Amino acid sequence: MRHRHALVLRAPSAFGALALSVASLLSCTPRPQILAPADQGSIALDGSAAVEVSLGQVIAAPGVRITLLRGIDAPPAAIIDLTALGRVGVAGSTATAQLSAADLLPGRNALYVSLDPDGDGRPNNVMSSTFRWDPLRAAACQRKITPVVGENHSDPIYMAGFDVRNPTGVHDDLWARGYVVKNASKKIAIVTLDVIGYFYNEVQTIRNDPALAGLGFDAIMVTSTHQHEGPDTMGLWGPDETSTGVDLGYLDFVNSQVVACIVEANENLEPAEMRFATGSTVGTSLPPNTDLVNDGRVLQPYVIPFDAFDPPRAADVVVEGDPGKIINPSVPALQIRSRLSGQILATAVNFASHPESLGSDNTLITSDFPHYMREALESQYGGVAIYQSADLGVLQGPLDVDITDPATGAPAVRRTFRLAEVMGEKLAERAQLALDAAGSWDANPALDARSTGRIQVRVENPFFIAAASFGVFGRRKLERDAQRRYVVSTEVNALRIGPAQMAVTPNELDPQIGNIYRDLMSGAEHRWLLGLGNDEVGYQMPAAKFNPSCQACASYVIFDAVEECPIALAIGVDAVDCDTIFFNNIGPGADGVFQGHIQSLLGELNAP
Amino acid sequence: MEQRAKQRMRENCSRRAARIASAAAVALGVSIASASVATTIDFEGAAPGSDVASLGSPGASLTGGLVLSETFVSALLGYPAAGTWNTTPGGVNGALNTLGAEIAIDFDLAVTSLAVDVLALPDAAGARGSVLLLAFAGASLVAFDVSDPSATGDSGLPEDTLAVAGAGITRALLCAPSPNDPTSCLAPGIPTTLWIDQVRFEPVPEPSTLVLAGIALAAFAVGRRTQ
Repeated sequence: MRHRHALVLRAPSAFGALALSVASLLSCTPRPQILAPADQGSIALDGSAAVEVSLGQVIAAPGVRITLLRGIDAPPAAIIDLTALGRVGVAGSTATAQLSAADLLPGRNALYVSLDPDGDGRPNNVMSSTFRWDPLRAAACQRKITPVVGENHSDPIYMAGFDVRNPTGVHDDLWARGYVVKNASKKIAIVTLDVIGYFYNEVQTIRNDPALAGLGFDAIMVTSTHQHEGPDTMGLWGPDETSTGVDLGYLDFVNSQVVACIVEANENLEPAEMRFATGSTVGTSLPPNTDLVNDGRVLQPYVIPFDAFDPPRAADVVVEGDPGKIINPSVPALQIRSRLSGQILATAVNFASHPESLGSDNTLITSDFPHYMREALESQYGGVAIYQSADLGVLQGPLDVDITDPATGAPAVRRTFRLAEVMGEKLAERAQLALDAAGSWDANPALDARSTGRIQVRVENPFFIAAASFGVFGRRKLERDAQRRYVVSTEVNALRIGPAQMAVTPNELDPQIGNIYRDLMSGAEHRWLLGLGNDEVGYQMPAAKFNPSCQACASYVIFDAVEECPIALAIGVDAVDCDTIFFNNIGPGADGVFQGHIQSLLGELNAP
Repeated sequence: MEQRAKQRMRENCSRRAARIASAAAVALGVSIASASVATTIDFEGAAPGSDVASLGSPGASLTGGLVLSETFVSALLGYPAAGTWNTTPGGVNGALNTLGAEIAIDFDLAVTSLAVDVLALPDAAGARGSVLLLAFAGASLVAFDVSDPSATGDSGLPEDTLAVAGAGITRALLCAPSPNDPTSCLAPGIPTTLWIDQVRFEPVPEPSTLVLAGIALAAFAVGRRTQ
């Protein structure tokens, strides 16, 4: 290229104007044009795109050259010569080709067409079309679900999680928070509620809402944080054992908020990318519970002779003790970022601890430490922060955890909002550390969703059967199987989002089982457990750890005559274990059923 | 004697002061000269296929262009571009307006002059093309230049250097001119109509620099009078 002019100000020259006039006259001839893909447009999520070029005249194939430049937003860019690969068809005055995901990189790609009808090696026309391929679209959403008497809840409100409590105020709002991710093959919504648990029948009501019909979701997951400082959504914490604590109008409100949240996210779907990490809480709190969480119930080994049961069981019941404290200190986290604005859309964090740091004396509505974790992450990144509980049963929680308060240098006082704040900020810090150290953003993460669909699992717990007969569980009803045994409908799911896999379990999972699930996620870099997923059927512990004495003595326990129970006579009244973990579950058989389903679903996800 | 000695001392001091003032003036002059040296964006060092917006060029930000090497141009468009499109000695890169119909240059500070080497690709009808340079001060068009479509360069395509000058140029556009109004861009715009290289501009001296220049000139004048 040559330099012809000095640095001067000048107007258009006469020859320039003349040439422009000639060009104007020539504009009557048909102009070659790239008809598809359109310049500045977007192509399908699956990366398929038809190339159609109007040549403006009949040109022989050798005179048409179509090339693709990919990787403009993901250097180094590379060139694919579609003509040289024999992928261009020329018929008359039209040239066509077909692009697929294998040709493209996420973001902008540019298609070039050059026409050289006289074959002199200097094209007479060149054209280009720059188009986007954004294989992932995502958005986040949040909706308040704070119970307000007279607005969305009847009077009184019963607080869930401990003994009978009525709230005296609201410390911080409760939320439904979630995100939607979509690619060419799957569309998944995950919404997490600041509630103690949410039953399958309500989740089905959400999924069947007309507003969600036709939106094409492959999976809608609704999980609960299991926080213990909000309204009773299950009915177990009403005024007495036979009266429900759940307000059906409030459930309707929550359902509508979840639907609105998903609809909003669906409407706001935009080109996005994700990053994934797994942090750890190891060393974040003071001895002896140094990992921000404590195993609240370390089981002791126990043998109950078979003849203690009436009717007798086939063998002695062996209750295996825990090999010490069992916790899961891992902190899987993911982030979603807009590829258009660069803004963080969502940060989701998965951790295994009961959100119950305020304890049983608190009467202020709060989402507990997840509130502070979310505030810290949103302050750092923006977007919507989401806390999702993992394998937090059997009784992994913060009640016996001491954390240094950075403001005082002393341990934050247990069962205070200050402790919840320090804990939430510690968790956010570890999630942030992991995320910021994560690798590059992935604009094309694989999505997959596997589900058992509706399954029936036997309810063996006589306390639950009795409570259901009193209508304690609200709209949640027990069913009967072919053998007239009580069963409950529920669901188990497994998800893949990029390098993360997620086992979605309908209960409070013992981390011993959580470890089995994580081992099954063989192809995953990041292993999530979305506990209380789409249901809450109580604790799930290994069958060998299940002490059936309390449920076997149920009728005696209910009438406060446990000492008359045959088992109590055999093993001693103090050995009849009615701890919450043996009370709040559907029975020992559930473990095998759920483990079998998860094994199958994760097997499908990881099949070659 | 004593009087003469004192007079000599005063004269020596004055000359020394004058020399110092002159030296200061020279130093300030160098400073001013360096502040107004043209900045050049030559696209070298950027990865071919990258957006010009990601360049982080000193003094200006560009949009609408795609950095390409001559090798990439040849492979993408079929022109024998090697050694003929680039104007940077030893360089290979330039920018093609593939990412937008116009390449926009927004200056961090207003500039007094702008020059750009341009190469015009055939227009949509296959005729020899030209490139229009529009210079704005804020929203006002203050200068323009258009390339000569008949000035064939060694690339075999029209090549030119477009140049504008004026006070307070804050923005410039490079585009294919409208056939009906050569002072405006073709609408709707068409991408991949022009190639640019060697974007050169000189910023308007800042007020503080002008004050320093004034001091330097004054000091220089004083120094000369004293000597």
